[in-house]
Amino acid sequence: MTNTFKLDHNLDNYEWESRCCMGCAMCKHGDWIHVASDHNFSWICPEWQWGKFDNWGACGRTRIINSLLYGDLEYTDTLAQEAAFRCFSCGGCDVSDKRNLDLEILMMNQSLKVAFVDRGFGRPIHKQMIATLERTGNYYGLNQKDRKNWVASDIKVEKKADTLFFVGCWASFKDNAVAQATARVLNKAQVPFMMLDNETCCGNLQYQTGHLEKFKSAARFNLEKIRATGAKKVVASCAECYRNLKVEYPKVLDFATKDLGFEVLHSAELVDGLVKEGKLKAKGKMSMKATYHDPCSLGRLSEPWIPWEGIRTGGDISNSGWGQIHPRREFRRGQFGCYEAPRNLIKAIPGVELVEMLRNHSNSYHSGEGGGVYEAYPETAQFASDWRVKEAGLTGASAIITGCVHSKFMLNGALARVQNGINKVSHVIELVDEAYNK
Amino acid sequence: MPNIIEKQAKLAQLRKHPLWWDMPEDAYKEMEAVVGSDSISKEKTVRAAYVGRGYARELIWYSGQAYPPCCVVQPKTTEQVAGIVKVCNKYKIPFVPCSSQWAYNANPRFRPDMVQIDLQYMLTQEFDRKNLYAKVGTGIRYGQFCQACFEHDAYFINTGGGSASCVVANHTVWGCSPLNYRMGNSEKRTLSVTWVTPEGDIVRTGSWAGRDVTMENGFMGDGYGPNINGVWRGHVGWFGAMGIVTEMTVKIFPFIEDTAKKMVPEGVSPESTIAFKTDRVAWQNFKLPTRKALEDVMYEFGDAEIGAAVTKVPVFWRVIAKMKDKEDFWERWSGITKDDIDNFHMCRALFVGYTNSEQMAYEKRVLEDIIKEYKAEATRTKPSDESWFKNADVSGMWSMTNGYSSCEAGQESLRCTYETGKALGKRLEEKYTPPFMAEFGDPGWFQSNDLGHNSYLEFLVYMNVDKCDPMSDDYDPVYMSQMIPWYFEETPEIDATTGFLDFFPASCHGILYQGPYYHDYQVWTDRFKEEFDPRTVSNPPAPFDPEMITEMLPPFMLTRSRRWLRTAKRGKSMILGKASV
Repeated sequence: MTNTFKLDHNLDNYEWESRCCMGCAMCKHGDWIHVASDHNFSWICPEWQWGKFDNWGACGRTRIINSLLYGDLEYTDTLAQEAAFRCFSCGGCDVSDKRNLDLEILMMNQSLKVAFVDRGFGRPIHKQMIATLERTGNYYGLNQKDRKNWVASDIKVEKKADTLFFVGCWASFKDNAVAQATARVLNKAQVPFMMLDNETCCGNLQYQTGHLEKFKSAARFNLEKIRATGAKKVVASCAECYRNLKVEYPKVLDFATKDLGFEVLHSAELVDGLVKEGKLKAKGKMSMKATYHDPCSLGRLSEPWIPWEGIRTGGDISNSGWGQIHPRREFRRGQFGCYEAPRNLIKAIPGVELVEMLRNHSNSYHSGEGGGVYEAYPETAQFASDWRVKEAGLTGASAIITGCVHSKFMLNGALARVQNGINKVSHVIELVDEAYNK
Repeated sequence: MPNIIEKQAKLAQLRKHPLWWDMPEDAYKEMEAVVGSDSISKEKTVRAAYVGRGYARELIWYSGQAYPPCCVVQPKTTEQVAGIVKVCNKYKIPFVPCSSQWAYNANPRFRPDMVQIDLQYMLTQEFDRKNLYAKVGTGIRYGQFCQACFEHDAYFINTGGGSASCVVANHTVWGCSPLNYRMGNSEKRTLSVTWVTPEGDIVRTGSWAGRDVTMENGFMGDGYGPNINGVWRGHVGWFGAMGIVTEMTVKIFPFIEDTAKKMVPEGVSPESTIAFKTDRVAWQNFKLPTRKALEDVMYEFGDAEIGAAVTKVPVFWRVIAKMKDKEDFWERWSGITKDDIDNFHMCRALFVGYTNSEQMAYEKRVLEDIIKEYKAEATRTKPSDESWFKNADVSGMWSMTNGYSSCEAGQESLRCTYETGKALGKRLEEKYTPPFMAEFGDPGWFQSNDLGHNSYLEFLVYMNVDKCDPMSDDYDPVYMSQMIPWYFEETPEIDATTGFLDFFPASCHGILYQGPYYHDYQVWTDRFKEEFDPRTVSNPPAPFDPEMITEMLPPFMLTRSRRWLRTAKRGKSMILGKASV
């Protein structure tokens, strides 16, 4: 018998995952080569580290999902809280698992959230924030007219250009420095860029908290607006905007990233190319020992999306059976995420020494902002960001550089609680702006 | 799409008990008083997360007999473990320990009334580098322990269970790795131990006996009088049926000064690795012209006392190492022929210049002499850690089918493991392909152990999980009935023929240890169990009751095995009745 299924957000499609996880616990501790000797830094799943019992991690969750699919457990609010919504959707479990078994753990986790939301068990704070977004165009309920207030007089924005800067809500309203740094660096490198007239939120919270249909609407709306500009490249400094534009929009609307009609770049990727081309040269010398935090949205979650629908041939015991899928597909293992571009930029700045944390690249630990966890369960989110700052402190660095505005926010927040020599958290584009512009 | 009504109907047919069992409130409160309310839960969400994992999960999971525990408790100290065990004894509630998801013991569970003692947060990890041992708690896993050893200019093995399996757990069961060639088996590496008996008493063994449980006292395995470590241990141990070992000291081994600290991770998963300092650490593969030559070369290595690991490489290992995904494995495997297997005799050896690079150069010169004599061909190997220091097979060995079992594992002479592997490969090919994946007569994995004093054989067979799992649409009872005799009849018969001492019977097929051929070993095992666990609360059945297994499996299975079991229970050895030994 063959089992037709699609790689989408229907939980029923992950019955195989729920049966075939054999409990190796790689989803807990990540890539075995990168496992640290100190238990506190040997985790890849911050939710599990926080909650301790196995329901807080992917391995236990596969059993819970199996119980749901077979009717041994019912959808309840308690279950929603204890098995779904503290997940950061960071994908650490997914890439670890895919070292070997190629189970779609992250898709399964996301589908669980969707299943809960569809049954009315979404978190109240998420619903409230999404309602605000629908009303105002951003999660904060702020006036969209103020969205471009960050554009300083020395920043040049074109009416029409090949490159579109998708600023994102956080940089537009909360952390203008990142938006300004991005624009200044592009100006400096003489890359003309435009912006959307009335940019609205990418819908990250909608996607990561399981509000799938609302996210699809946001995706359609934003894609239509971007395509209407004729932009060939879309640049984002917000890792979540970047991931949603590049990966999640194609995923939920069922097409491949290559068919977007434009290229999506993180500002670090674009600027790394410019530096290599000699279009940007650092001024003077800085003095800094820095470590780099890999945001999950820029790293392991950012590989292009390729839709897949097919069959799993379970019963056949010829060489075409044994649970193989047909047609074959490329698995997204996080291997080809954007890891080196930000590192290249940091290393290219004279006087800046880059030191790696114990968990880096695809094995990176989470900053605490993601999956709607900070909004619904701030204590869990802060737990994660505190541990990340503690890890950064072990490197002897004084600064954390990242490529994500939300990571910057969370890690900055942790500095007040964890005093260990880290005194600064910056977005990589801010560092570049400082080194190349000032 | 799973039809819940159909699935529930199927599960109702399979299950012998209601899924959820509520423990007495008084017992729960007493346990809560021991560990605190944050470290115990009877929420269904939590309990469901602990269902069906670990060794032999296929057998339990696919029979519908994987029940959730009645509560999960996470002790942090030995005293808390003892406290929980005492409450279990008081209320006659069975308990089962676990740690990392993988391998504290199998926690397949045949009944819903068991307390899950989750030991993953007992995190002692201390080093005495000078005296070359470390103290570890039940939550310490091989991946982190190996890294910690590197940081102390030492090394340790990573066992077949992989980096996620726990050091303490793996020393109570198995502890096998190619590096056992130099380091010996895990019983030789186990020193002092803290053991909570099935009744909740705390016993210190080795040089911890009668002393403080400190690092400085944990230097030795033997204590006063008899070596009590033999009670809780055994090559495959009790799987939680003889209380709980909560901490131990284990030997660590000196590694190259400064080099170990430089063995840092490189690369992005799944291509991550640890680069070697190649004049001090190197793997070497070489192909032998015949299987006999492969076996003889392994003897030669032991004789010359060279190498840090010496192992035979099964063909499918190499295919797994090269594959991109499951489908890629099968594409590559479909190109493998019986001739390929018959003519593939690869040995893999690890060389370490422990003292200096000259030592390694010397060992490699000896190697060259040996392989020249045996007309072997050296082949290219990666200059990096691809396995056994920090990583090991873990789930990669499941990747092509999502299910396998080690149907045989044990230690014998090299000659015996070689002959046994050959016989198993032949029988598998002739009579059991299908139901199992074609291995074309490959004699499986065997390695030289303990510098050639013995050899370890583990024979893996791969099944089609969808055909085994009653919850799969592809479930095929005929397929299952074809599989079962392999485990219960064919492999023991081959063992009897070749004289191989398979350790699995102790844990899985207890019937095989009955009768005069095995000196009624099972009777003695049962006596220990009755003495130490009079209430039968430590992971019953002890450790696996084959009669219970046969009872719980669908009735069309094991017809012959049931007959066999009945005969065995009458005291006549089935082995003696089936083969000339």
